[in-house]
Amino acid sequence: MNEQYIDAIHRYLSGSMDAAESEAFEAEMHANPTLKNDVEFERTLLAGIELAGDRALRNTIGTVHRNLKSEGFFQSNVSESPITIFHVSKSSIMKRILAIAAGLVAIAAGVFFFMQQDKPADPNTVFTQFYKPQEDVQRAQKIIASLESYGLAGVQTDTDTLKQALQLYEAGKYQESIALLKVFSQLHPDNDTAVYYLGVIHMSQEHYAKAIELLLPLSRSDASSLKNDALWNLGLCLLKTENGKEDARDAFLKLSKDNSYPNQRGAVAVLEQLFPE
Amino acid sequence: MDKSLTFESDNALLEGLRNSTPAAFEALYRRYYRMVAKQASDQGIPDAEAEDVFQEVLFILVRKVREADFTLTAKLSTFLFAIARNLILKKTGDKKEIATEETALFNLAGRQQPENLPDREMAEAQLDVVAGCLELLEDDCRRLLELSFYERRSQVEIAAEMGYSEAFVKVKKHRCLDYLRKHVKAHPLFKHLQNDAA
Repeated sequence: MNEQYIDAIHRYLSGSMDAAESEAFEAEMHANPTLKNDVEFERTLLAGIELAGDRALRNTIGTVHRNLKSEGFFQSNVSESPITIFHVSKSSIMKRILAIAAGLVAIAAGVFFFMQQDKPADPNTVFTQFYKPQEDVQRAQKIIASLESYGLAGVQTDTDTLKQALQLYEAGKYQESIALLKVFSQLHPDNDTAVYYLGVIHMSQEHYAKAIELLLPLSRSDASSLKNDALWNLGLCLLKTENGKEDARDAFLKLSKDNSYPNQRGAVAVLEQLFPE
Repeated sequence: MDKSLTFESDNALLEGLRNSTPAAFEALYRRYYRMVAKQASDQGIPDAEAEDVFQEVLFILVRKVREADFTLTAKLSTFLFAIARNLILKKTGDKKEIATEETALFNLAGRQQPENLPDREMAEAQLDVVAGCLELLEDDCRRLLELSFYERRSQVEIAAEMGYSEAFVKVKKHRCLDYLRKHVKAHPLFKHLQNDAA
């Protein structure tokens, strides 16, 4: 089947043909059973692609939902909120409600942490509390700003590739970013930035085993300026794995003893929650 | 950092939703779930069903914002609440079921919904086969077909996202469709087409 033939079928199926063209196409279908069969097959093919897309979308939403559930997000009493979706336009009321809600949340959090003081926190809860993807985005923005292109006009250099990959990551276009980072990593296997962000993206996609595989060697590399950040994310990924809590403790212990690590207090806080004395 | 503040504008959120970014969904949960759940609760919908309603709201929202002619004419929250209200009213009012992905699929131009059960089951089984065969393709092929036929992105957008030239997108799209056709036609459910597969 040639491309023009297929394009015509797809234009018919997507409703892109004008009335006259569509009418002529349908007349041709009536006269030509092969065309009619091909149209039906292409319709099934496109509907199948759509079904796969719907499933992937539902899966992504479902994963977010389950993560929030494990964090206890849905346990709060919804009747506390007096807002209705039929009347949400009064901003002053909204501000007051938000202030009250924030107060209630703060009180609830205080009571919760008071009650939980002596109990080890659930690793999933700790992960949710300390996982800050936005910090990796900000780190990427700084790296992007530091990357300069030395290529000729219109010529894509390796630096451009890395820069573009990080920009795609920053924009949330993870699959495209992964594709470019892989290309860059093949050319520069020792580049820690590409490996780090491959790990970070896999982590954001909840591919924790893959993220660990990428972040572990980096967390041991004294030559890398991203060593401690890799160790932090590695520790968080380990919290998401079965029996990973002890290895996570080792990671956060190292960070808690490193005075040069800016988030040293964060590592201490993770340990206090996971392993209260 | 408050995760609900990660997306500071509706446009940033929209872009996140178009790309199915988990953080965008999480931001919507944190900002709007309680309001939707409260409304559902007021209408006598139990908490567990309210959770299902909100998942469906997000699903419909993403499908809408990905439409080629979609323009946000009001705040994103207004749009989200309108979808939620419709779903809640459907659940409580005339008791019509919320459209599922399977029934929605038959809305492609010109398709008659199969009237009898065996035909419908066969049609659904065939779609399952196609969806399964999609998994057999290389990542880049699968992504390109999703961008073309699910997210309905233009060739220019796909070229920018995948780092290809526009001409190559067109060539690769047809090549990937050919791979998919071959896998699908090799399946027993499509045996009537196997003479065409060669």
